[in-house]
Order: sequence, then C-alpha cells, then structure tokens
Amino acid sequence: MASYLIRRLGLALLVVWGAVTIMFVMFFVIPGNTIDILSGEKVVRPEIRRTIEKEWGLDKSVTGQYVHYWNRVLHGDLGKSYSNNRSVNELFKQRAANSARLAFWGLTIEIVFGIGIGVIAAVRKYSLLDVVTGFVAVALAGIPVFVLGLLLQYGLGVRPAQWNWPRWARFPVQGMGPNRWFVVIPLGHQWKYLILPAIVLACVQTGFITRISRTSMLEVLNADYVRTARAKGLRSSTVIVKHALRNALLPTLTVIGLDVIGLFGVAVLTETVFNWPGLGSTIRDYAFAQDVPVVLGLASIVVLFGAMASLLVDVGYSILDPRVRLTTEKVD
Amino acid sequence: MNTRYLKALAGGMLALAITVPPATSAVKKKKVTRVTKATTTVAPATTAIPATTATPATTAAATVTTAVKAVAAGGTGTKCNKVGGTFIDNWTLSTSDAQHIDPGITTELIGAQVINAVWDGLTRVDPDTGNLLPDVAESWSSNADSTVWTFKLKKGVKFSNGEDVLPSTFKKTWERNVSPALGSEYADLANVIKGWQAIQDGKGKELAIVADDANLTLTVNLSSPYGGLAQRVSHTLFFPLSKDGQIAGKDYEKGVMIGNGAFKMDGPRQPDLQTKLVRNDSYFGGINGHPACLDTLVFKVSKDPISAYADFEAGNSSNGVIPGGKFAEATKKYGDRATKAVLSEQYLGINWKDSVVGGFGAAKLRQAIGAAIDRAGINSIVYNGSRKISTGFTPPGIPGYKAGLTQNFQKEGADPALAKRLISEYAKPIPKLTYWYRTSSVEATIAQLIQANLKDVGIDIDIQAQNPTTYFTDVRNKNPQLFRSGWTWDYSGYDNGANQLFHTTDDASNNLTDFAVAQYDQLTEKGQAESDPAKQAADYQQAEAIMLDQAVVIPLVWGRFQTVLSPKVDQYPQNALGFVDFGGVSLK
Amino acid sequence: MTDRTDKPTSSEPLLSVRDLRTYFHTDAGVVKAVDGVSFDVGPGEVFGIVGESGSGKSITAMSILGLIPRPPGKIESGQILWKGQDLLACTEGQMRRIRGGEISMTFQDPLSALNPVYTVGYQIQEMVLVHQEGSRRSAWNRAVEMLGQVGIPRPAERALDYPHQFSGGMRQRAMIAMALSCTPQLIICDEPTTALDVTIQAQVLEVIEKTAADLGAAVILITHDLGVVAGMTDRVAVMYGGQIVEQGEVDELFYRPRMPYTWGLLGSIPRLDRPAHERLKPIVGAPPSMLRPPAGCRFHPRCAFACLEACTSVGPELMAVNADAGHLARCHRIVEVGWERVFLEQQEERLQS
Repeated sequence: MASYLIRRLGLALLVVWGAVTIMFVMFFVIPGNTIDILSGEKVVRPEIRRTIEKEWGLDKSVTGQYVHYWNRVLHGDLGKSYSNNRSVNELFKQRAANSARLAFWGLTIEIVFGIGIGVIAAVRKYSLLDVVTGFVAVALAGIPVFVLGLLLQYGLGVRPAQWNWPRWARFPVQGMGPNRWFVVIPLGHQWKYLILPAIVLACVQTGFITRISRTSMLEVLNADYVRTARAKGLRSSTVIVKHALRNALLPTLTVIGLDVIGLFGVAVLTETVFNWPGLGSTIRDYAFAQDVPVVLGLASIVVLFGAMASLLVDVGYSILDPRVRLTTEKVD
Repeated sequence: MNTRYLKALAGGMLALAITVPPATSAVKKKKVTRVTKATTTVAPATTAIPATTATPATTAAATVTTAVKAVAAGGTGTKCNKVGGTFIDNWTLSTSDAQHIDPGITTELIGAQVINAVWDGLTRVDPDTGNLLPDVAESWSSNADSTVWTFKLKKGVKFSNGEDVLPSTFKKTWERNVSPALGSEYADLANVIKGWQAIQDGKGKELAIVADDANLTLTVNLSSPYGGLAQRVSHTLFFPLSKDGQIAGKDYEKGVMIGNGAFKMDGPRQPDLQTKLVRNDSYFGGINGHPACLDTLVFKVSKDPISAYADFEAGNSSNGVIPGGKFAEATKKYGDRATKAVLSEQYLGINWKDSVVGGFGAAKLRQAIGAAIDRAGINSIVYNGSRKISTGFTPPGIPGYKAGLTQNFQKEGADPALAKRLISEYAKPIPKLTYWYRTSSVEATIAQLIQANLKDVGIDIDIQAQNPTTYFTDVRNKNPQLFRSGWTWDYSGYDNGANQLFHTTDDASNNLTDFAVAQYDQLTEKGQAESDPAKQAADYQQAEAIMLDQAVVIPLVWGRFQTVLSPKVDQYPQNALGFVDFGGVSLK
Repeated sequence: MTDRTDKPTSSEPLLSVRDLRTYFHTDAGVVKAVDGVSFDVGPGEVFGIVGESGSGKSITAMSILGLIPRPPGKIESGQILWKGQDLLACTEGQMRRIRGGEISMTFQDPLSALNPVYTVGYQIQEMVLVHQEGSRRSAWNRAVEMLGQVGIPRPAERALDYPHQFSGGMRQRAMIAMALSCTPQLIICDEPTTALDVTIQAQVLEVIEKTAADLGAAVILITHDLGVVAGMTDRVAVMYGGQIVEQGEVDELFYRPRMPYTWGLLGSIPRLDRPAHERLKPIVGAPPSMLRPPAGCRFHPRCAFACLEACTSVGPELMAVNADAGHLARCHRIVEVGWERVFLEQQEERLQS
C-alpha cells in the first residue's frame, strides 16, 4: 500500500510537471508580445522595455525562463501577476478556500442527491418518481451552466425582489456575501449566497451520477448476494443500504473521481456567473489577459489537486472494495 | 483599457454579447502625451473655460492669467436633496476589478473612477458642462508662453487622517509617481514638467516645482510650452498622496490609502470582491461645496455583465450596465436618465499611405466607401439602436463641437447611387481590399455588414479577424487598407480627438491612418495656439472637415452610456468622459 | 389440482406446499416458472428436488422464502404452509423472522452469493444478530463456531477473510455455516455442489447431512444431479417445465421410475456398477420454453414414448403409482400394463450394447 501510494504520488507529480510544461510552451506559442500586454500597448521606450524585460526575466531564453520558473516554484514562489503585480501565492490563498468551499458543497449536493435519487429510482423502478427523475436528470445534464445559473438568478433572486416577496424567500444573485464560515459550514446568512452556485455547480453531474447509480444499483439489486441478504432475514433498508448500495457505489465512485477534475471546468463558469471569487473565475480572468504567471501558477495547483483527487478515489475504492488491493502489481 | 477589453471579451463569451462600460467596445484607450512642439507660443487652454468668478490679473500685463475662484457652497455643484444611505455601484467594475487603485499607477478608467471618489486633484471636469472646475486649487495662472504655471491652493484642505494638503504634498507626490522605481506607465503624463527627463535618466530626483506652503502656491516650471496643464492635472497621476503614500511603492494599494476626497477607504480593498468607501467627514467640499451626500459607497466587482444586470434587477445595486441587446427593454423599465452621450467615436479607418486607397488621388474611392456604408443599419443591428449616428468625428459634449461636419457624401443610411457615381468618377479598377477588425462577435457583425454594403456598389473586401491583444500594434505596423477602430476622449478637449489623432507628427503613434496633410496640421496647430475659444473652435472644425472630406475615417456612431439607475437614486452627476462625481450622488 | 394423492411421511408435515403457481410477467408474455407444485417436507426429512436448469426448482425454493423479485415475478395462487401457517399470508415482518431464523437457504455459486465487500465472519454475525439475542461479540463467536463446525480450519482467522479469499468448497461451507447459524428447522440447499470438483462435492454433502442432522433440521436439496440425491435424500421430486413430474421415496423412484423423463435423467448419470466404456445417454432435445410450453404433456417433444394422442393434447395429471412409497408420476402411459417394465428393458438393452 505504501509503495503504491508513493508510486501514485510520483505519477501525480509527473502529471503536474507535464501540465506546467505544456502550458509554459503554449504561452510562448500563442501570439501577443508580453511587453505589449505589460505596457497596455503603449509605445514603450527601449530603456523601459529593457527594464520590464529584466524585471520579469523575459530577457532570458525560453529554456532559461523555464528553469528560472521551476527554480522559483520549488522555492514556494509562484511569481506575480503581469497585469496588477499581485503575488500568485497570495491570490491562491485568497481564492483557494472560496473555491474549495463551493466545490465541497457542489460535490456534496451532487453525491447526496445523485446517489440518493439514483438509489430511490432503482428501488422504485418504473415508478412515477423514477420516470420523472430520469427526465430531470437528462434535462439538467443538458442545460448549459450559465443558462441554468441565470434561470436560478431570475427565478429565485430577481423575480422575488421585483414581486416583493419576503426577505427570506429571496436569494442573492451575485457574490459571496458575508464570507462567514466554520471551515466549510456556512454561518448566518452565508448559506443563501452559497446555495445557488453550489446547485449550479452540482447540477450537470448530479444528473449523470443519478443515472450511473441507478444503473449500478439496479444491477446490484439483482445480484445473488442481495438475495442472500434478504434470505438472511435482514430488513429491506439494511439490504439496500448495507449490501446493495456499498457495491453500487463502486462504479459511481469512479465517476465522482473523474468528476472532481471535471468540476473545475464547471466551476469556471459557475464562479463567473455568480461572481464567486474562486480559483476558476480567477484563472479565466487572467487567462484572457494573457497573464502568464498567474495562469501558470494557479493552473498547476489545480492540476496537482486533480491528480490528488484521483489518487484519493483509488484509495477510497480500495476501502470500499476489499478485492482491490493497492499493490504495485495492480497499477497496470 | 486593453486588459479591460479582454475581460469584456471573456464576459462576452458568457453573455453572448459584449458590453464594456463605460466606453464602447473597440475603443482604444490610451492617455495621450503629445505636446505640440512646433508652436512657440501657446495660449492656455483654460481660456475656454467660463469661470464663475474671475479675479483680475495681478501679475505683469504680459502674463495671460485666468484665475478661477472656488465655487462657494450652494454654487454650481450638485446639492444633496437627502443625506445618507448606501450606494452600491455595479457599473464601474461590472466586468472586472480595477487593476490598480493607486492614483500614481492606475491606467484604467475604472480604477480612476474609484480614485476620484477618494481623492481630489487641483482641478476637476464639470460633470454637467465638461468644463474645468477648480478643486483643491483655488485659481491658477500661467506666464505668456505657458512655461510657468502657478496654482493657488484652497486653505484648510485636509486628508481624511487630518494631514494638511499643501503645495509640497503635490510636489512630493508627483515626484513619487514619476520615479522609475514606481514604474508607473502613465509617468509620461508629467513629461512637460522640467526635471522629468532627469528623473527618468536617474540623474535627478526632483521636478522643477516650487512649493510655497506658507502662501499655498505651487509653481510648476515646464520644459516646453504647454497650455493644457490645468486640464492635465485633473488626471489621477496628479492627485495628492498623504505622507505615507508619498514614499510608498507598488504595494501601497494593498492597505488603506489616505485621500482628501469625498470618501475614504473603510479598510483594505478586497480585490475582485469590492472596494468599500465611507463618507470623509473632513472633506473640504470639492466642486460641490459640501461633504458627500452618501454615507457609504460600495464598488462591487462583477465578472459577467448579464448576471451583474440580474443583480441590479434583484435590487442589489444602485446602478448597472445594460447588457448587449437589452438596451430597449432596460431603458423602458428603468428610464434613460443615465444613458447620455459618452465622448467616443467608432469609425472605419482608411490608410492614407496605401498605394490603392491612400493619397489625394483616391479621395473619390474613400468617399464612395463612406457613401456605401449603411450606418443606420449598423446602429440598429449591432447596437440595438442605442447609439447616435455620427455627423462628424468629434462628438457633442466637446467644447467647440459642430454638428453636421460629415460631408455630403455620407448620410445616415447607405446611398449606393452616390457611391456608384463616385466610383465612376474615380475611374480606376478597384482591387479586392483588405479589412481588419479586432476579433469579437460585435466586430464580426460590423465587418459583415460593411462587406455587404460595399459589395452592393461593386467593392470587394476581404474581412480579416485579428488578434485582439496586439491589434493596435499590428494596425500601426502593418498598415491594413481598411480597419475598424474607435476613440474615447481622455478629456473634453477638441485637441484630444481630431487633431491629435491625425496630425503628421503624432508622437504617441495614435495616427493609425497615417494621415499627413500639411493644411490639416497647420489648422490644428493654429487652433492650439488660439486664445479665443470661438476662433479656436473654427480652426479645429475646419481641420476636421478637411480630414473628413478626405475620408480617411468614415465615422460610424458616437458612444452612449449603457447605464441603468435604480429608481432609488436621486442625483447621478456624470461627465461625458464617464466619470461619476460620487460626491454629488444622492439617494431619494 | 386439489387431489391430494401424495402421502406425507410423518403425521404433521413441517412444510406443505400446495398447488404453488409462480409466474413471471415479462414483456414477451407470462412465464409460468412454477405451475402447480405440491409437496410436503416432514421434520428432519431430507427432500430432494431434481431437474434441469429452468425446470422451476430454484423458483419453488425462492417462492417458499418469499424472495421472488416482483415485479416481474408473482405468486399467483397456492399455499405454502409452514407448520400450519400460510407463508403467503404473512406480513413482511413475519417473513423476515422466518427467513434465516426458521427456514434458511444456501445458494448456488457462493462467490456471487456472498457479499464481496464484507468479511465472511461479518456476514454470518450479521445474520445471528438479526435472529438471536446477544451481543455482537457472542454473534461473532457463533459465526466462528459455525465455520468450525462446517470444517473450516482456523475458523477464528478465516472469519476475518473476504469471500474472494476462500476456495470454492470453503465458500460453500461458509454458506452452509451461515444458513445453519440460527438453528433453522428447514434448510434449503440450492445446487450446493455445482461447480465443485467431485471430492469436494462429497465433503460438502457430508457437511450438510451431518450438521443438519445434528440440528435436527429438515433439508430441501435442490440439484440437477440425481447422484447427489440418491445418497442423501429420503424422498425426491423430479421437476420438469415448472411441474413435478415424478415424486416418491428415493429407492422406489430410482428402481421403479415410471416417467420417461426420470428414465432419461437416470440414464444420463454415470454409474459405478456399469462398465466404464459405457456411453451415457443424454436426453435429446432442449428444455421447453416456459413462455410457450408445449401443449399436452410438457415432455412430449423430447419423449421417445409419446405415442398417444393425449400426449400432445392433454396435460397428464400427477397420479399415484405406489401409494405406500408415496410414488406419484405424471404420464398418460403409466396406466398401461407392463409399463414399468419398459424402463427395465431399456436398461437391459444398454447393458448389452
């Protein structure tokens, strides 16, 4: 197990290295002179140009800059923004927690509702609930994130305000609000700011997880060991939760694991639509400004987290399924 | 502005349409640093300002003096019908946060907007008339050749921390702002001041400014004559910083900055979230003669214009930007009191140096292009009918503006018959022309409309989308035959637009058309040297008419603010450059 | 089928299945998986149900425990009397107490029948906790004890293993241990020896026989293997096409079978008292489609003796052949004189060939 983890960790770092390198190369390939970006397209006097180049290390060759970049990163310095001089480390500190909280709740909604609805739909197969949730799941997975976001904003934020609904029935449509948390638990009114973006973040994948868990649950409910469990005289709730669900979770977990990475793409849009100051929208903003240090720095951390998430899923898988042993032999 | 533009593009991906407040989408924003060197005597441009009360000249008879007294409380400024309340601004930062809010560093309108609420400079542009008003300065004057300027400061102006605002405050602040150590991109704005070059070269530390704190006079010595210094010091770069600010580096804006304006910072700015300001009770009154009407002013940061508008509709902000395609609906719902003209112009540029479309010989061809373009169609299809069709380059709101400068060949709609006649008079074969635009959905639509218009009269153009990041550099260097561009005025002076953009010796490289006509140059130079506003305006208008007659630019539309105001907002003074005088904003 | 022609082996049967009909309602139509099955099992008796796969024997067992998945399955009619109480009228709560507690069941293919994500010990413990008072620890001890009883070495250690860590025979033993852990009065063993090699088969059967005898539990042994039945059971029912086609005491049925299908089954098993080179005679043809069973006798398409008109048109009733041995058979031709000798003649033929 330990050697497996070390190997996987090494693999994760390799992925991060590869991603950073690819991004690094891409930023050199895309058109747009960094100096032009830095100077806001003003005509720059040569001496200023040289100062800027020196300040940002742009006078070095691409390889030199690459080595320089890694040297800094390995010393814990992700650099600073071209456009506003902010430290990337600081940006990360400010944004990461916001993203993490949103992602936590998005994932929680996705897992609880996705699996919950999926299981109920499987147990009550062909019932009205099964048919309705099946339809809704497909619909949710199909609606673009920003359309869904705007629909929720208008339905729960704008309209209630215009029709003078009581305060408690209105939801804020923008921003993070009071920013009061106990770790990830929203305090006071914070939940009102959290709920809509979390729902939007979760929606696409909730539909997907619902279908996956329904399918695998149906399969498992027909499994011999579920019949055995019933023959043992267990309550049907025990049979479903203990014997069926745990096995049905295995394929679902794989989907969720992949989703943790995919979630980031959705987070970019969700955070933008809801003005949630997270990593996703930040990377997007700076990417459009071709602010290489910020994008490179934040994106590599996101890649690292993605790799860690998939490692975690593997570990979780081995906990759920004793047949999977985390040994080095099993990797390939 | 360029970064802002990119962010707007990003927003556009979500919003399906692009809306850039407060300027228009393709407008190139750059502070102009050109100083006319050809003229030896320049009359101060301040003569164009109708002063409320002029004091008689006290200096030598040879000195042209314009002194303006502070506007007394209850004078011309905006009065508060109600004091108190919180104004949540979701207009200024509706597509992204400002990169900087340090007055010495900012390069963006949106940053300057926040800065103008926290600081007052020596002078300020009147939100109603566009004229220059005294702010921290009580009066100012210059010598005959506009090389020495003296500003007399008001007494008792204080920073929010109680520190006095004195002439030395300005001197030290300016020296900080232009120092290479700070690396401000707008340090060039002060290049007319003697000593500036030495500082840039590392050979000096001081500007040639005499700060007499006892008599509250600030004497600025220029390296060359410049008549527009009083306007220029209304720029954020010249705002006074408190003692800690005068020695601060780039990190100053991370903490609480101390200003002398109507509002003060409530705490450090929360990047990408909001900047919260509260009333500065020790404010000296500024142009309104009273403290801010509002208790609190919050600049909210949004990332996506459509959801920012939803936020406004939900009653969570006091103003907002109308997203693309919603102009009619929004103005119907919330009124159009905040959609007045903005000083910007969208145009089609034609390269003067080009072998086909350039030069005097191709005038008929360029005019034919002008006649063929259906500007009314562009306005209704692209801008939802929200813009005003240009009747010249310089928009209304600029002192000296004259309507209807566009020559006979250009009407609101297309005139294919006239275009065809002009082409037949041109009498040369027309090859396929190249048309560049800065990649965006709006620009692509405009390009297609123009392509169709020109095809109707037998001119084929090849429309090419260009990299938005380097667009203007590329236009400057690669000289496409036809290109789309725009201009937003930095200050409400005629010279900032027409004559600076098309003068041969434009050293800021803003002359994208490479227009070089001696008669035009002479007229603009003459206008700049003219002291009589009427005569000056006549010169400028004549110059612009020559440029328009040569059709190196085909004016399309003038800009208009895409702003909605909550019904709760009472007064909302905003000048044509886009600056809202938040000190005068009040709620009902 | 109200004729009670079979005879219970003891005065009061433990389990009495009366005219059980279990149908499956599929999109293609109604599958009559169990179509009028009746039999009794006495206390301590070992009762065998033999048939090909798809004959309805497993469905019969699952119907007894109420484990028919519904939809699509449904018990259409009949009675399952457990100590006089009709299980079909029981509430789910009552059924839960009976399942595992009074009647338990082992399934074929124990690898898939045991939950892969729990230890073997846990799965037994869990069942003990449901049916018996006591702590988790005592339930665990019971699980270890049972594993020891069915012959698993080092049971305390092996209880902590997962099913995939057990061998096939061990898993079957574990299933048996689980089934017997709550001292049921009846244990239904569904194909306990399938997929096991012959030596292990014998061991497993011995375990079933011994432990059931120790507990005094009755056993229903479901198998397709007449050989298994022969050595172990008191009485046997042969099922074909959802019906019992022949039933009786084991010796009677083996030595004097009357139904051609039973003959076929007997002919298809290897026997030690026959020459090794003798070829087994498989039953020709395929089992009937339960969706559209053949008209008349369900076996007639495969029957070498289906020469009567009635064979193809009228379904034969289960008729008493030898009341003393409880011998019943379902064939139109058993009334013929000398019918019983046809089988014996056939056997002779085989010996001589």
